[in-house]
Amino acid sequence: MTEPLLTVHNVQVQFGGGRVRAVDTVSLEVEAGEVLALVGESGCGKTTLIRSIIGLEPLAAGTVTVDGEQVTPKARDLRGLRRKVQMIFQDPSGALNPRHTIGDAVAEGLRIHKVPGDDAALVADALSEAGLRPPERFAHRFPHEVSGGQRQRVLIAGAMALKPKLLLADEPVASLDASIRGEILALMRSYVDRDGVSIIAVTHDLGLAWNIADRVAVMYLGRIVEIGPAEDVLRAPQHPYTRALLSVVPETEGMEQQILVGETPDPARVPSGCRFHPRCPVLASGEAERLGIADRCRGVDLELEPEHAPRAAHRVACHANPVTLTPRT
Amino acid sequence: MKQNVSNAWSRLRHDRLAMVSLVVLIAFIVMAIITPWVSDRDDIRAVNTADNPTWASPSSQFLLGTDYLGRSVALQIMWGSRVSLFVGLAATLLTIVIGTVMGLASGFFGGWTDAVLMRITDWFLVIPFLPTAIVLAAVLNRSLWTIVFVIGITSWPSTARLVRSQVLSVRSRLYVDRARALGAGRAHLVRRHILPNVTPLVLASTTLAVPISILTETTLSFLGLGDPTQVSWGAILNEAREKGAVDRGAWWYYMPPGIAIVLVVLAFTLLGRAMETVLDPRLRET
Amino acid sequence: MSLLELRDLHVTYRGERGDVPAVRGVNLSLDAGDTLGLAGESGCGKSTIAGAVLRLLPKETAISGQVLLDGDDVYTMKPGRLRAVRWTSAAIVFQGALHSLNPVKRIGWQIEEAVLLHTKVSGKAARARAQDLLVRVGIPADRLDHYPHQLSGGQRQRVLIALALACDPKVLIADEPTTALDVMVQAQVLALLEELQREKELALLFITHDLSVLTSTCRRLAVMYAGRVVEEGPSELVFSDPQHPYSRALSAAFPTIGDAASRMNPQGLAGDPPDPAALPSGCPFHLRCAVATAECTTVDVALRDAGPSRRAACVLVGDRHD
Repeated sequence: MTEPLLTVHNVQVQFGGGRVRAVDTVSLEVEAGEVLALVGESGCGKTTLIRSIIGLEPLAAGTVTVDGEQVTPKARDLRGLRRKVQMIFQDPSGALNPRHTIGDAVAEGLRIHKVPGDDAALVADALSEAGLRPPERFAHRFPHEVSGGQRQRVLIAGAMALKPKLLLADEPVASLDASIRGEILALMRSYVDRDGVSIIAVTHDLGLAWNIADRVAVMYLGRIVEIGPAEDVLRAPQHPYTRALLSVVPETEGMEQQILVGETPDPARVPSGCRFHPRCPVLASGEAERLGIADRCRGVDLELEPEHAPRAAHRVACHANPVTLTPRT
Repeated sequence: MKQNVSNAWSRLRHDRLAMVSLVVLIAFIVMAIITPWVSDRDDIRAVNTADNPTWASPSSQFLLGTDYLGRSVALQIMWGSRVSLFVGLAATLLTIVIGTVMGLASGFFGGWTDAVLMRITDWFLVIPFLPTAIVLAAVLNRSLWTIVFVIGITSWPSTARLVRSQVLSVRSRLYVDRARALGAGRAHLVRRHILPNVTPLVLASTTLAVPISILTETTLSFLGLGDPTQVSWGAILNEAREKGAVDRGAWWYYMPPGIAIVLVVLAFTLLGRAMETVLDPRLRET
Repeated sequence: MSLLELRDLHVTYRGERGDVPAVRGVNLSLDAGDTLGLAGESGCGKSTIAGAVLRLLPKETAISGQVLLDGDDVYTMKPGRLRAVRWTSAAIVFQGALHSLNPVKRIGWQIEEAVLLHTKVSGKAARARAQDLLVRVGIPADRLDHYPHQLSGGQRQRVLIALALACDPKVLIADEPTTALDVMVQAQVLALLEELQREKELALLFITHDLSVLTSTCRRLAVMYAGRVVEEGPSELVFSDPQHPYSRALSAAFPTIGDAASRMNPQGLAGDPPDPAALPSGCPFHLRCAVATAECTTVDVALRDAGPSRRAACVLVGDRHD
């Protein structure tokens, strides 16, 4: 079996001097040419996780390995990392310096890494591939002169100009009009199909995951609670949180709505035991009692072990699920 | 970059007050430059030039009359413009350079650097200006460079704070994150993103700092703390006062320096404020 | 008689660079207990309609047509009557952004303000009513004295709902009430809205870009594009079997999970939503339409029959439906 492109091993990211455990021991792997959707609500740590993969947030613990090389915080390492891993952001307007032309924005990465070749030609290629044709028409315009969808394409062009192997996308279409989202998603998929690029797409939109993801990982309060092939996780969710999420998403058919009580939890106050237990319908309905696991739900924390199992496995961090249980003692 | 400058210029052109101010300033600058060709230093030496009438009111020979020594007031004003503008610009340069470097370092590095630099800034902010000026004038040579130095080291804190807050604001923008994600090192971030956002503010701040420096120099000279060998507008005012120009009704002696000061200060201030509006990053960015 | 009726409403903003027609002839009607969803993307004019109902648009705006609240045209009312009608006949639930509420006033005070403006009750009674409303929307009574920034996004949205209900209006206009909320919180707020609507038999106009949300919350659905309604009908049908090419594209943007057709098949429209200041000729959608004909470039077609209680503004409709 080939080495995965990206290995995240027991990563922890903290804020406020350890008070907020934004990412609390996460492990996952991404292969070449794979699209992984990282889904969850606000505060679950998904954005922090990908920022830490590209080195925008320091790791409190754990390792990130890309293409066989472990990433250290040293500046030189990070530069090398950013040739292989790139990122696009949720707000295309804010992510582009309004004083720079589109051509400058796309060329920025090329100039930083001193990529050999004619800048103008490389920029034109990147713009074309991202669907901005003819590229000359866009290169000397400013971000505010083009539409939101086009701005996101500029961001994509800028990231892909460096020909990275992994693209991290933070809510890539959340701020775009619904009717144009499909085009941007199809564009992202085209890099995967044509160049074998891998993508981790952070999103709260499960429909997006259904549209483009090979695998889905669901995060809650800094941990991955469920991971597996998209068809499995989205059509036969195992974790009570995933089930509840899917049940309230309007795009899901045939599931009875299970609206969870309470607010989206605060990562500064992680509950004891299974971090989902205060809102868990399985516990609340008494089913946990019947299964005899109620005490464990309240007292025993659990996490998904680093992937040893075949990557295609569908794994869950839940006391009620007998298959992949790995309780912490 | 070039487009930004031409945009700014065309907007500035429409501000009538700013254009008038610009013309006034250019006039004074020209005056300061051509002075050595029009007269020589002998004309203003503090000796009685026996040929000239003393306390003469304006005439065709002496456009602004003469003072108590028979020296031409007009020539003194011209020589004074050199002093005021020189001190104004040099002191401002010192202020801006120190302030910008401190502000940039503080805002960019953050952490301990920020804390330490900000405490230093606070310390200088609190220093009372006049007592310090008096002490330094007594201790150091009484020269124009002393005045420049005194003004410089007491004025830089406000620039530092302004620059620092702008740097902090830019640093938190998403496009700086994007640059970092692309692999940008510190030099790139400062050069491509932070400095271009800070420079307009600094430019406008500079234009506003010049009149403050000029007024400060005028004050010092008026109080007799300035360079005794130099004729500055403040010194002229001081002499006029001492020699009783007001009692004598010699308005041509004490009014011109005052008017000159007011004109130059007003012109710089109006121009500076117009530049601030034109270059305001909040208006430029989406 | 309808509680809310829009008759041939036209709204044109007057800007420095000329006129911008935001709404170009919209007809809607809502009865008591009725729920109508208004879907569309940026620039389609749907938010303008929310402002138009209570005459909240800028003074210079050119408005023609009628907005009838309980039979009275809002635009011919005297100022006194208009003030009396605002919030008591119809109220708006705004998007719950942090600045939708006054950040320096406690939330209790903000609800009391609405009550006191319209009813002659004592301060204590107003406070009691504010408390009741907060509890009704699921916020603990002790939060009455909290400031907006002390509440979560979902809680702020509930406060805005409570605020809208302060004067017992019969018509409720919800303008993007769940955008920017987490999925679960959105579900909670929608459930609350549905509950309140049923309980008080409110006429609800639900404005959003999220088409999928409307199918469960609203009985009828109208899709807007470039200032006009391009399709309307029962919400389930409009979503599952859209007749207008734009509705089809919009519906496809919200894929059904589990549906093989949308698996690995993101569907979108080329181009961008049209700029209301520079609309294309003929049918404004023709530049992005997969099935545009020659006629579409010159004829801006009106709504026509597309089935029982259904209408769509497309030349191809009428040939295609069963």
